[in-house]
Amino acid sequence: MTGDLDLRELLEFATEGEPPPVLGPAGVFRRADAIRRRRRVATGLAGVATVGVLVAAGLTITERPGGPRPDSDGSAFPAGPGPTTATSAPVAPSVLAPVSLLHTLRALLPAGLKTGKPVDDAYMAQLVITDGDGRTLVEVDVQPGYLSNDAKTPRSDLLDKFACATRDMGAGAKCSAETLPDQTRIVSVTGPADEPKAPAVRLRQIDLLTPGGGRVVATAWNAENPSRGPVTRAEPALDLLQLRQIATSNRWWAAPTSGPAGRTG
Amino acid sequence: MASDVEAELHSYVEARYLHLRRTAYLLCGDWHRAEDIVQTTLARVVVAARRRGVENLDAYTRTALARVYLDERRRLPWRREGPLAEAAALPQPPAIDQALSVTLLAALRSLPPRQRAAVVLRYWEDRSTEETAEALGVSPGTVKSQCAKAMATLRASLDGLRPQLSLNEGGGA
Repeated sequence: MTGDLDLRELLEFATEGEPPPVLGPAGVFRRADAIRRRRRVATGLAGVATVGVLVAAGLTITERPGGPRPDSDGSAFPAGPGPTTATSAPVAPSVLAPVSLLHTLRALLPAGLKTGKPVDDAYMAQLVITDGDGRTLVEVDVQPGYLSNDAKTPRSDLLDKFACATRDMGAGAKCSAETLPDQTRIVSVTGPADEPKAPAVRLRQIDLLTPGGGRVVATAWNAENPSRGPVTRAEPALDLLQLRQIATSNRWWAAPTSGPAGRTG
Repeated sequence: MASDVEAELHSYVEARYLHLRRTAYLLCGDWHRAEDIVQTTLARVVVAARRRGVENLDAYTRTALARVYLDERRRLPWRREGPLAEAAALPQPPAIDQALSVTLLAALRSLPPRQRAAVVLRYWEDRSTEETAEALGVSPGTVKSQCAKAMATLRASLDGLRPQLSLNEGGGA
């Protein structure tokens, strides 16, 4: 073999002898479907909610001021440090409060912000907020049956999002994770939004998993349109503490007993 | 129509899966990790296409693949060394010197991640400087300089093995 070698040919040779795929294209759609199911906890939720309320009504649960409602005994996932505050054995699912997410989000935002362009559906609310330094988007995604509605995805995969080492994040993102005494898991993320068409967009995010398997994702971006940009400021308008106060509010969830839950403020 | 989108996505994933896995292998040097990278990449693409539509699936996928790879490198620094033994054990075409192929893979792995990604996108994926720059989120000038440095490293590695050979850049628009 003499003379010039084409780099592409060499790269071709380097990939010769590849083993057959293990997961294949079908695995891609299984993974994508799992993501979609988690995002659109849709049909069947009413039934889950009804059962959840009935189960929850039969439990004795201690309210913990200042944090997410401890609506289970923490047995939904492996125990973390600290004592648990609930005493009942069965896990009460986290059930959506019977008010719109948008209404709750508005009530939980810091005072003094102007809001507009609302998006409201059953499990997600968005608002464009203005504090004088640029219009940016805030979103809350609430998934009542995060751990129970997706039977095909291994539980360990669902819990991967709540550990920084296994969470899928944009390059260079900073992450911290903690488990509260009532077993609520909280992951805080700051960094690039990983949007191909808007690489300058950054986000701050609190991802919370209740002991009852419900999830709240509160996110703030530094752009009005995170997927396309442009950015309107260097960092998102809400800091992690403000997002945490939103995500940990018990207003997202129905009370464990009958009657209106989590007032709307 | 949603069914049209689904059909297009299925056709796209079926058609591109193996090629993307080879691309990921050239980036990470491990077939199992390569498949994981491709699964993550294509699942993101499918979710994005279903949710808000993707105008150019190829471009979007290239960008997503590069980011998943670079992100993995940052998140999992203990995976930096690819298993060279695996490359050496792979069956090689008889007409090609196996040592040359193994040396190339080793040289690729010695490159910084962004240089490696630039080389793979430019010369394996046959993308233009601008397309490569878009996928990596850098300027075309940065891609040119990264490719130039990478090619110098690759040439040095291959010249050490076969001084009589010279490496040309072949494709790359």
